[in-house]
Amino acid sequence: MEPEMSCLLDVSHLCKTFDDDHQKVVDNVSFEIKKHEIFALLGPSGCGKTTTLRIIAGFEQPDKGSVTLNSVPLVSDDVNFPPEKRGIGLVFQDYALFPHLSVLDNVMFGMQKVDKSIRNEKAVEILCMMGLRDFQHRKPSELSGGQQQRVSLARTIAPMPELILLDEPFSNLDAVLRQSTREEVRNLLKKTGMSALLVTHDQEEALSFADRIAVMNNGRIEQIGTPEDVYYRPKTQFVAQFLGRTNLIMADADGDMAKTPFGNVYIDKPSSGKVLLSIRPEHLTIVASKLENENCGEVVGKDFYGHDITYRVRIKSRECLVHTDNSVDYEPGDLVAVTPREPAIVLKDTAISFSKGDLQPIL
Amino acid sequence: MGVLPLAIPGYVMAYALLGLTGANGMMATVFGLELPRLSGYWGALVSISLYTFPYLFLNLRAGLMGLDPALEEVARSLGYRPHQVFLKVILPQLRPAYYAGALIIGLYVLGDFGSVSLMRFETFSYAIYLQYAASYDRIYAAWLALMLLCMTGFALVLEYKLLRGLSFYRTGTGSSKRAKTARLGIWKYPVYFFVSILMLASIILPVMTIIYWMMDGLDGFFWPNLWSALGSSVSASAPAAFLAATLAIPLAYIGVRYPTRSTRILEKMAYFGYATPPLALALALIFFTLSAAPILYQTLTLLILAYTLHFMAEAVGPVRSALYQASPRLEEAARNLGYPRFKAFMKSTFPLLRGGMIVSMAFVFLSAMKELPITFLLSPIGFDSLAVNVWSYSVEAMFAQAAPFALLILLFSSLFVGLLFAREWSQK
Repeated sequence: MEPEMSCLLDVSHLCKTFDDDHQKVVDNVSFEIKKHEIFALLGPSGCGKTTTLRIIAGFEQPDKGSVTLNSVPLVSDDVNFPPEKRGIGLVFQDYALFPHLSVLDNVMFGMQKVDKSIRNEKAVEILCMMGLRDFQHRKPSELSGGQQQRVSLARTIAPMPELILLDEPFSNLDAVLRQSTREEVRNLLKKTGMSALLVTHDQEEALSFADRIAVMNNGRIEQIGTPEDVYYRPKTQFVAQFLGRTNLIMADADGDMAKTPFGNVYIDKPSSGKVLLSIRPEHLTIVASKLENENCGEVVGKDFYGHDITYRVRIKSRECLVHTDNSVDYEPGDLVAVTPREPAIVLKDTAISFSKGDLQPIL
Repeated sequence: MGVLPLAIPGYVMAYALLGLTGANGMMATVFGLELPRLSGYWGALVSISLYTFPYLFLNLRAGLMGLDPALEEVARSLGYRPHQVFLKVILPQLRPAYYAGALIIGLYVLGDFGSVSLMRFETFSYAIYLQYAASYDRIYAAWLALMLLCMTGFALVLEYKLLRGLSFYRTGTGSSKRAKTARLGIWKYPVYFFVSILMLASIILPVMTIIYWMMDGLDGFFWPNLWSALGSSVSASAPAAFLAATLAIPLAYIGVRYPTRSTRILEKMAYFGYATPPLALALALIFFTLSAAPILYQTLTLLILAYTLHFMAEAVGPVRSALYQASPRLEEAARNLGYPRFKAFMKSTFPLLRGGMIVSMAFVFLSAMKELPITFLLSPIGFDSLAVNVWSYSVEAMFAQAAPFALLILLFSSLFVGLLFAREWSQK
């Protein structure tokens, strides 16, 4: 491994149960964050991602497992650093700005280690970088949500921690602001060389913001990988569904082919017997077909978005989603066949599990 | 205006009502309107209600100001009419304020000595006093005090059941909007009328009565007595206020941040000191110091400690309300930025408690200034407070002699209440 890609934070085998219920909130969670890396914990609410973050920050104690920063154990069986000694920054979801201090004082709050004579200057520098120079004497209550968010970030990066934790930091911003703030923050992190751990339930945010993503469900990490990895090559049904729209297909595999309702398809790894496949709508396309063909289906829905189109195609009383560009033009009622443009992904699960609110088509 | 009656202690209110009614009362001599002399049950009821309602008023006011107007707007947008919003959204949110206020008043009534002794209505505390003062029957007095403690315990259990699980700091983002002031329209006349009647009964009449009696006896009055009594009162009340507000912080903190059964009980301990009728508390402290630490007996230190123990509950309330508003995230943010636990608290949460602490101190100071039975029994020799003077003169129906002391208590307390409000307005 190259030296600049060395490990910064090592989280290993964390377990946490809260007193009032016996289910593990965090169940054997392990991952590492490299220097200068932006890492995301992605999962639905209640999956244990925030608890994991609070354990790393030192506000919760794990039942088992350890957290190590730069090879120094922060918490393990016999060590427990208090939060203030960990040197890890944290941006709160509700910002937690001190209402009695001005913006400038908020930013200077954590700069005890910076020499007094230049503290003010440094804080103003950071505020300028965040575009907040004109607001330094205001109180947090006189700022908009986006401004409060930036002050909160400025306050966290002011002591120059090596790692900052971001707890759903963009969820309180409106959509337009969210996207631009996300980009700004990402650029800032890359510029300062800080590593970051983002906790979010928004898969688009994780995909566009992080270098690597750990997808969590029910306290466990289901998969860790680059955004492309987890999106294109999900390992489980949960990951496939959580990261975007997908078609789940029960199929009979034989070698690198599998037999599905819409014909034989290539699969990404040789298998045999019953397998569960995931194939993203944009990896399918449709061609005209005739009734006598065995895999003939019918277009039953068309959502036109301008540059692209989503079709719902019914094959043998089941439906699948096909996402194409606007050069592929069919109308509801047309007889079509569906063909994959990429190999389908073989998931670890061997049967489809249904969960509440499942709206995805399942073949 | 609603808090002004706070400045009128129970025995002054009772004294004023006694001086107002009856054949020689102010009503009879000035307006020629002879009202039956208020005494016994009705006398006690009227005088206690008039001087305790501000506690509820203050709690409800603080609760109303802490409401997020967005919640009302949400309810309106979901199709609720204004009066439904009031019933379904506002009242439920005021529950903690209502319970807290009602509990304080309940405890006040249970422990009141001044009003009932002047009205000669034999409640627990008056009976205890009679036993102790007249027949020196300590055992019977102790039994009565125990029964009173049981009733207090019951009130506390009730509060615990009602307030459990209610924590009302905002979970949303940023800072809440300030509510718009509503226009009363046609309704303002009945509202003004109601408020005027209340003011007349709770402030104007008592004050007029005291002034009337003061004019009556202005000549033969020995002024230095008044100033030395004032000095004595302040020298005990001010340190007690500071001590109580300081001690209230850790107590409220563990109660709010670590709400387990044991911390809840610990927090409630403050109420036990408050609920213990002042007479019983004073008696207990006399017996205790005489046998355990005779050196403290009849010292100012003991008096200050007694005030602190007794009025701690008043100090805990405002501090606790302020703590509910301060999100625990702030302290976590401070710790995350490198401050150890205690320093993080002092830097992040403590500044937000200052408002609550000032209210706490004002409450304790006011209460200690007008406190009667504890001062009466525990004061050092030669210590002669304002309150004791008012009571001993009124008991002898020497209304004219009592008037200057009563008036000074009133002026002083009103100043303090005024200060409280000036501060609040300047913050806006």
